[in-house]
Amino acid sequence: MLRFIFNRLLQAIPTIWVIITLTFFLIMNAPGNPFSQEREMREETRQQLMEHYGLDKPLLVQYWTYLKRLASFDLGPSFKQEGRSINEIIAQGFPVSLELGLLALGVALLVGVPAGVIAAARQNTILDYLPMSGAMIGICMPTFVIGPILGLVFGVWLGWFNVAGWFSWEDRVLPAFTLGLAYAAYIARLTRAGMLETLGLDYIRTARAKGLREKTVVLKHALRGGIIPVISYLGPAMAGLISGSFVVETVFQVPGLGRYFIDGALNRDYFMILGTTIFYATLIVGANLLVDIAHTLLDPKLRKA
Amino acid sequence: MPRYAIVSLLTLLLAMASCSKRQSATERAAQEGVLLLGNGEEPSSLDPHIATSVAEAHILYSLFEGLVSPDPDNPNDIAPGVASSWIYSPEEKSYRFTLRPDARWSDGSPVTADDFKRSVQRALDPKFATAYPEMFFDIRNAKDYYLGKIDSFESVGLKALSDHQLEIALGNLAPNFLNKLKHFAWLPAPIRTLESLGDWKSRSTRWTTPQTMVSNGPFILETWSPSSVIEVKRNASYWDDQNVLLNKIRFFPYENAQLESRAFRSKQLHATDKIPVEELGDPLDEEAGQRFDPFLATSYLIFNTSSPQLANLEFRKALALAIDKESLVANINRSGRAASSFTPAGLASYTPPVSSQYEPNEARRVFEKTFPDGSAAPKLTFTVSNIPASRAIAEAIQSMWSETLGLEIELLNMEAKSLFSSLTAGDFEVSYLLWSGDYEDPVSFLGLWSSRNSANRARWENASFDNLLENAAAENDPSARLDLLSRAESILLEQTPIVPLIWRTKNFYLDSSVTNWPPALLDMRSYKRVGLLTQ
Amino acid sequence: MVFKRLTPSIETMESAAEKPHSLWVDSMARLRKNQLAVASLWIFVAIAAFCFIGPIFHPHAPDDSKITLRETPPFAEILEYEDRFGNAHQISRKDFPQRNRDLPGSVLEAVENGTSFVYKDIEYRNSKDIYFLGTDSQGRDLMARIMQGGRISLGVGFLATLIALLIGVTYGSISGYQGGRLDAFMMRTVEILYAMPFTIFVILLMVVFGRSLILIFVAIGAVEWLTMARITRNQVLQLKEQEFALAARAMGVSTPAIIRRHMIPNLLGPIVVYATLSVPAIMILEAVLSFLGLGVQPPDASWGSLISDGAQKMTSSPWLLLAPAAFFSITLFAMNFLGDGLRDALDVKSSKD
Repeated sequence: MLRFIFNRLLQAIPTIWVIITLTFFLIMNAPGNPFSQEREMREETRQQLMEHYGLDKPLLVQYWTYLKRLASFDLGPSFKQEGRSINEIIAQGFPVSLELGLLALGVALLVGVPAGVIAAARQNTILDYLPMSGAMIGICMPTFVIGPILGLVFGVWLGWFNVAGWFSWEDRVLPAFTLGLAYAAYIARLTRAGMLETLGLDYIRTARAKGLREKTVVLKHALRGGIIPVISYLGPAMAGLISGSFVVETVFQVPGLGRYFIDGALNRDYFMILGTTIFYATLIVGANLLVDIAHTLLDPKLRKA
Repeated sequence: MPRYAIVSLLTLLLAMASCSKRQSATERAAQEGVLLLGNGEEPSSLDPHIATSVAEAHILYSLFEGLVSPDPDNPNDIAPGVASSWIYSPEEKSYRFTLRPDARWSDGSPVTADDFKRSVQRALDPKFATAYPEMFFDIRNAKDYYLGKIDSFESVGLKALSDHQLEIALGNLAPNFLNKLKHFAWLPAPIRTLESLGDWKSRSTRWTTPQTMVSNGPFILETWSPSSVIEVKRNASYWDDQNVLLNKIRFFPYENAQLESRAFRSKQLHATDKIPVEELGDPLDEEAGQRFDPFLATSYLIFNTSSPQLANLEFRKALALAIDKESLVANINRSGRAASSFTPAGLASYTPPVSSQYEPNEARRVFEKTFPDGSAAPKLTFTVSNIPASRAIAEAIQSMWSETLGLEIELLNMEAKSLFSSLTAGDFEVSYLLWSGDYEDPVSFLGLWSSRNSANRARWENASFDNLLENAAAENDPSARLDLLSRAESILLEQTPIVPLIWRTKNFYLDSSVTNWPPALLDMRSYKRVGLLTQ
Repeated sequence: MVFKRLTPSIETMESAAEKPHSLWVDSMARLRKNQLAVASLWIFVAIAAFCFIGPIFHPHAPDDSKITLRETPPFAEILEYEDRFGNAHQISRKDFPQRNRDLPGSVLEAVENGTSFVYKDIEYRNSKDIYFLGTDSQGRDLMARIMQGGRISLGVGFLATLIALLIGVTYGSISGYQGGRLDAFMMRTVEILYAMPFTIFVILLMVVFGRSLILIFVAIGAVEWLTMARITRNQVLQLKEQEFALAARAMGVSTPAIIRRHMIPNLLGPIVVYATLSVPAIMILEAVLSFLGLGVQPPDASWGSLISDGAQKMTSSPWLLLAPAAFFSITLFAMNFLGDGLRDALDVKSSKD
């Protein structure tokens, strides 16, 4: 087993390396440079800056320097946030994105699973159509529409929550809901489908025949099977929630990592783009690895192979 | 059960929310003497010699004080800062500043003439890459030092005569020098602190963290949480601390104008940095706290005069005449004034010349004369930033040109970095830009179009324009000087390498509890006298 | 187990070449019984017709900007006039007093009464033009823009899906069928691309290659094919171990023939289902790109860019958000229900991986 994990880890290294290389040459060849701005910079100043950051060297030299840096886990400096290192920015931003992602996942599950269960238990009634239509709307509405609407209603008109910032627990509510709703919608649909499938199975019929109350049947017996598709969806959902939170972070001024991602690309903050890409890529590769390991542990057939 | 779960969750939320129907953030802050400001964008740096943006400048003016500072009651004027007085000697073309003996850094050490001298030395260091070197080029030999032509800083016209006497010798007549001195590039850096942290002349020495930062202004840095908030608190070592009204200022980096406006309307901010264009009332909605302050900035159209089509003056004129600036102001920008010159009106004693305005029939006539029988009417590419506001202007001009001149225009939206680098490379035909002045003088606008300026993106060269600018720089008499500048601007407008479109206003929301927030042409102010009313 | 129903028994192998039709006939019959899916199909057809054929009958062009008519609500009364240069303009009657301060009483009255009037030597007459969905901030007819946006959004959705399909199915079936080292290598490549954070990858492509409509298709398609390739490969892996495929191979049927006759028909189900579900996903992604300013180039529009613009103006001019959002949602509704219907009809139980 250890050998297997070790092998997989070893295989992950070239994967990450290809991503680094791909991103590096993509972004370095993007039009524009980090120092172009509306107010034209003096040519001398630009030269000085390029030298300061080593951008005046040939691309391959820069690439080699960067790889050497990476070997000591240094992701380099940010141009846009002068003086801060990418390591520092990730260390500050990622926990926020992670928290937002987890909260949103919580919202998604708390809203999605019950809605799906009700819809399945009352198939083809108003209690089915209503949550399912709501779910469709949730899937259809981009977060950049839902976010401002929630902010306007609960922040400006009702005055219940702050519309911006990430200071108190109250500030977590609107961003978490905005981000969670789309996933809640998806989870509701998954739950409903899963429940409907299980509710048609023999053991449920047996349970019903035993005279168990419908509530017990649905919640105790059917839910256990019906929720399986949701559980296997949690992995991709979490990845999506963490790396896809940039819109919500912009709409509510949440100091997470997602925004740095986008801003880095728009500002040609080369090391920022590289750093965040590598970081997320490593996360995804790591998650895949965990899934593989879990599969192997569960499936002896694979373990031998 | 799940139904009950939802119901109880909702009730719980409602209950919590109704309990927290609380005193608004602005009211609470006002009682504590804390000003909450929306501040445009996350600063890149709080080092005055590295900073470039207005957002950074806002914070810097709270943290530092230069030799002179913006007058707290009228920021367009100069008030004594660290220098309590100064004398100008015309024969020697030099200023002698007397520094306040009670001026202190926040670590208690005195602010000395040497601090200012070495701050300039640091900024001009050829390796440092400061953003505004030209703010120092009036000083004798400063430019040569910056360009690495001379090695010793001692030959630069900057001398610390004693701890509290600073002499600045100028290389040329510089009637606008004191205005430049107000610029944030001139704010001092705590050299001794820098030395204790590393190389004081290096850009990468980190001293702007709350733990390490030492400053000499009315406030000191307390927290800096990136993308979240920057908090400054009252500096007890500041020489004029007893006259500072606020205890703290929190700067929020809200880039998204809609978000900022929501924050203001939900009483999370005392003032915003902008107003989203769709909320601009006509006339301004004073009840909601809208302010349109005069602002030294012009948005303009720029032609690449080195491109084969736009080298043609008549064509440029026809294009300019076909633009209905009034309509742009009324319908798109919804604030500001139609610009009749590049230098905005509002500078003391400078009367800019008036450019030709919207004349569609004349435009058609000139156009048909240039391209008779519709021959080879060129196809133009209009490169513009993908910010909605710029895009909207470009789309409107595109339709004006196609309607009036029957011209085919291709709009090319680029994100900012690509746009600016193609402008620098001369890889464009027409573009739309904004220029804001650095100091209150026409030269801050006209100097941009000198053929010697590498920032002249229109690639326009005109000998008489250059000559007039040079003559003005050598002119002793202020009114004669302004006259020369006005003549230079007439040439600029007549030759049309650019079309000034809109004199901008600074649009922002301001809560009625904020006192003493006067208009500032450069959007840079001292926060010394800003106060907050409490109910 | 999933494909039990689709698996022909060895006895029927001889006629397998003609048989796949009946599978479709069956499925379509099942689909027809699903009223929701049928309704969705019709709604979708209606919207597509509206976007693609509508402009022929619609009097306004999507790029015709009458700046004075900016942000006019739906069905507003329109005044037309000529300025002193003889250029024709339009303005909404409601906006007229707001844009011109201190109107004389007679003019105000005429504005109220809905009659023609003269103000500052300019005659204002009633216009017959109606803007059913109002106009945008540049005074362009919103309905025309929604039609245009629909063409682009649907185009992006379908073309990108098609690209993803072509690349993904080819890649996945080669990888799955050949197996061995090639499979390992090809799947490793997919894994590498999978680990690329997906959105940043599209954004990077947009930033590096500048923006054009074609590129949006390609960029999105280039990312979406990965899932498609995985699905195809997994299906092929399963299929090729099944009795009928083994039998065909044993009987000496050539590889391309096996793929054509036995693999592709059985693959179609999951692929079609995945495709119908990925069209809406791609349309949402395009909308997010528009929000970031990386979407279509104005004056062109997509539903995403219209929604993104409308979201900024939702308090002052709500119709700018509501109208495109309604079209967008209804289309996504329809696509999703159609996808569900197809899934049921084709009996595909799990479409994701």
